[in-house]
Amino acid sequence: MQKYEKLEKIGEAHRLDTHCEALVLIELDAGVQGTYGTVFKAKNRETQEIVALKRVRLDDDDEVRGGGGRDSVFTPSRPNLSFAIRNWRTVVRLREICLLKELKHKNIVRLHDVLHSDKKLTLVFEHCDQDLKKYFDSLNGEIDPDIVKSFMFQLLRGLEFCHSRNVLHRDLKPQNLLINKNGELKLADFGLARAFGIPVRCYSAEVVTLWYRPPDVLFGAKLYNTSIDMWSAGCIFAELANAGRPLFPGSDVDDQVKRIFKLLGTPTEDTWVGMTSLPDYKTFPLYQPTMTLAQVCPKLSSKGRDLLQRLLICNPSARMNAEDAMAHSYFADLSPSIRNV
Amino acid sequence: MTFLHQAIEKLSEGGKKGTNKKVPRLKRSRSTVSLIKAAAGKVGATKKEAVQLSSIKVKGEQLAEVQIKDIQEKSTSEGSNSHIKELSKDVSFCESLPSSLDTAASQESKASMDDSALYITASEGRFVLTSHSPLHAKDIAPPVQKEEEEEDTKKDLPEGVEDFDLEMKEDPTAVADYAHNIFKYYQEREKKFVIVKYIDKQPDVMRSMRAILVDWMVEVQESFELNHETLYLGVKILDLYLTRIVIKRDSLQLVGSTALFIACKFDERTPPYVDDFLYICDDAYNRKELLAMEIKILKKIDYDLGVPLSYRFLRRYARCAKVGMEDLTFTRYILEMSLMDYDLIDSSDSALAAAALMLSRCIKGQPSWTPTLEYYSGYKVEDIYHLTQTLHSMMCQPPKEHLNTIRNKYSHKVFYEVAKIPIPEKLPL
Repeated sequence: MQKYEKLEKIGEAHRLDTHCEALVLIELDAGVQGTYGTVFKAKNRETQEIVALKRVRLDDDDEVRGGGGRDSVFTPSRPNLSFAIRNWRTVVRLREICLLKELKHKNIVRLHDVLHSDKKLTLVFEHCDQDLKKYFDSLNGEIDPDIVKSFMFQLLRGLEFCHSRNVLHRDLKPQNLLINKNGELKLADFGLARAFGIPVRCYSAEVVTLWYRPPDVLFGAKLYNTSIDMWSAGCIFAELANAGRPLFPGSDVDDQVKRIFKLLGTPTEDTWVGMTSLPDYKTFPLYQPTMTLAQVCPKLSSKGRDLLQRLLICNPSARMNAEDAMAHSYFADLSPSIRNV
Repeated sequence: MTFLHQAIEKLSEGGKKGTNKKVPRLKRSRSTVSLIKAAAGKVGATKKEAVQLSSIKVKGEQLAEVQIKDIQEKSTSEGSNSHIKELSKDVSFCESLPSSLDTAASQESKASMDDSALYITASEGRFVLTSHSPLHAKDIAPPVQKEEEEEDTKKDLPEGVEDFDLEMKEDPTAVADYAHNIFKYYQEREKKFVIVKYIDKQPDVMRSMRAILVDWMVEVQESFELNHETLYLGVKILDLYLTRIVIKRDSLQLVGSTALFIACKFDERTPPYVDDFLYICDDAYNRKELLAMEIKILKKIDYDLGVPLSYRFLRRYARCAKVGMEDLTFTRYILEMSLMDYDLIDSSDSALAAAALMLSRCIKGQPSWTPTLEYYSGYKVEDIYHLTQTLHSMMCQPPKEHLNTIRNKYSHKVFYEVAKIPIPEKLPL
C-alpha cells in the first residue's frame, strides 16, 4: 500500500444480496449474504490525490478447496453454495473492472488503477464525497429544482454513454450514484453490469434492486435491453423530485408490482403485447390510476412530469431511451455549464 | 516420439524445428477417459456431457525459462513495426499441450441451446410495441423534435439500402436505437486490439500448435455449451497475451483454457467453475496455476475485455442483409475455421466477418455483395477482396485429421451440415 495512504474506512462494498446471475444461487440464504470488501478513503502519496480504495480478498478462492472442490460432495442438484458464491464473486469483480476500464466518462466513476497482490485485489476509484442516498438524507425534504434537473441530466448522460457502448448497468439506485462537491453525478458500482450483444440474449432476471426493478423484469423477463435501466432512471427521477422519497418502496415482488400498477394503471395485453406470456406473469386487479403524477410529484414541472411519464412505461418497448430523454424539452433550460461539461 | 507430436512437427512450416535442443516427449494420455466419465456428474449443474479430451503430456524436462524484461524489438517480418514491449515470463510447471480427440459424444450436446435457435425466436418478435400506454393521454405532450431527426437519418442511407434499424424498431432484441452507434463504436474500437503477429518472437510455440489449441477450445465451447462470443473472445485473449508474453509450449494449454475461463466470466450467464476448467485440462494444471494465470493474463491485457469480435460483426451484417439461417451458419463455419489460421490473426475483425460473408455468398452463387452490405459493413468489394481470397484458399485446404472439431461440429444436422458444402476451386469473383 506504499502508493496510497489510507485515511479512513468509508464503507462496505455490498453485493450478492439479492442479485445472483448464476441460477444455483437461488438457494442463497441469509447466512452467506453480505459484503465482499471494504472501501477506504486514501491519498495517493505521489500526487496527493484523494481516491477510494475498494479492497477484495483473493484468498477466498483457495478456501474453496475445503468447501466445494472436486473431491467434496458436489452434485448438480445441490451445488455447494459457498462454492457457487465464490465463483459468482469473481465474475462480479471481473466484470466491474473490465467494464469500467472501457467506460471512461465524466458521469461514470473513474477506475484509476487495479492493484493486486497474492491475497488482495484493490480497485482504486476516484473519490466522491457521498452517494445520492446520503445526500437525500441531508436534505430535510427540500431540494432545488435545478439540482433535480442537473442530476437527472447527468444520470441520463452517463447512461447514454453506457448504452451506446453496449453496456447495461442493471443496478441503478441512489446508493450507486455518487456525487461530489462540484455537483457532478457519477454512475458507480458496475458489479451487476454486463456487456450485451445484438441481438440481445436472455440474461438474468435476478437483477436490479426491487424498488427500481421494471415490471417486465418483475414478471421474470430475461430478454431485456437498455430499457431496463430507463425504468430505474424514472424511479430515481421521481425520488429526486421528492427530495428522497422513494416512488415504489415495495416489500416484495407482488407488493412492488401492485404499487406500480396502482399508480400507472394495470397494463393489459392491448397496451403491452407479450406481458401475459412472461415467465412469472400473474394476474393483478385492473387498477385504474387514482392519482396523477402531478399529485405524486407535486414539485415537478409539467415538462418534468411528461418526461417521467415516458420513462415509467410498463411496456419496455415503449419506454423512452436515454438519448431521447436528454433531448426532452424538460432540459431545454438546463444550464449550459452542466450540458457542455 | 508419438504420432501426434510428429504431426505437429511436420505441420510446422519450417524454421521452427530444432530451436530447442530438448524436444519434449509428448505422450497421449488415454487413461483419462474412464476417469472423466466417472466424474461426469460433477461438472457443474448445466453441463450435459463430460468433455472427452486427452492431453498430450510433456514428460520430463521443465524447460528453463528466460526472463527477458523490457526488450523492445522491431519486428522485421511482415513489414510491420511491431513492438513487443515486455517479454517477461515466469517459470511454469505445467505440462501439457492440447490435442483434439475424436469426440463423438460432444457433438450431440449442441442443439436447442445454441444461439442459432435464439436467433430465430428473437427475431420473431414476441414483444411488439404498442403506442398505447396505460397512462393518461392528456398528460403526454406531443413528441419532442422527433420528425426532423428521423429525416436526417434517412438522408444518410444510399440508394437501395434498407433501413434495418428502423424496421427493427419494435423488436427489443435488436436494440435498434443503439445498434448503429454501437457498431460504429466497435469499428473504431477494434483498432485498439490489433494483433501483431508474434510467432517469430515465440521460439517455443508454432503456428500449428496454436491451431491445435484453438481446435481444442472449440471442443470446450461445445462441451460447456458456451456462447460463440465466448469462444471468439477466448481466442482473442490468447492472441493478445501471446503478443505480449513469450511462453513455453507446455503452458500453452494453460493460457488457452485460462483465456476461455476469463471469457466465460465476461459473457456467460452461468460460467463454468474453476474446477470445470481444471477437469477439461485433465488436471494437467492445478487451481493455483490457473488462478495465477488468470491474474497474469488480465494484467497483461490491462483488464480490457470489450474486444469487438468478428462474430458480432457477422451477426450484424447478416441481420441487416436478411441472410437466412442456413447461409449464416455456413458463414459462421468459415469464420470459425479462420480462428485456427494464424495467418489471419492480424486481420481486422469487421473485415474478416465481411470477407467470410462474401465468400459464403460467392460459393452459394448469390450476389457477392450488395449496397446494403456495403453500407452496414462499411466495406466495398475491393476492400475485402484479398481477404476473401485468403479465406477461400484456407477453406480449400484438405482437412487435417487432428484439426477436425469445427468441421465435425458443422457437419451436424443442427448446423445444416454446412461443412459438407463443396468448396469450388475457383471463385466467381
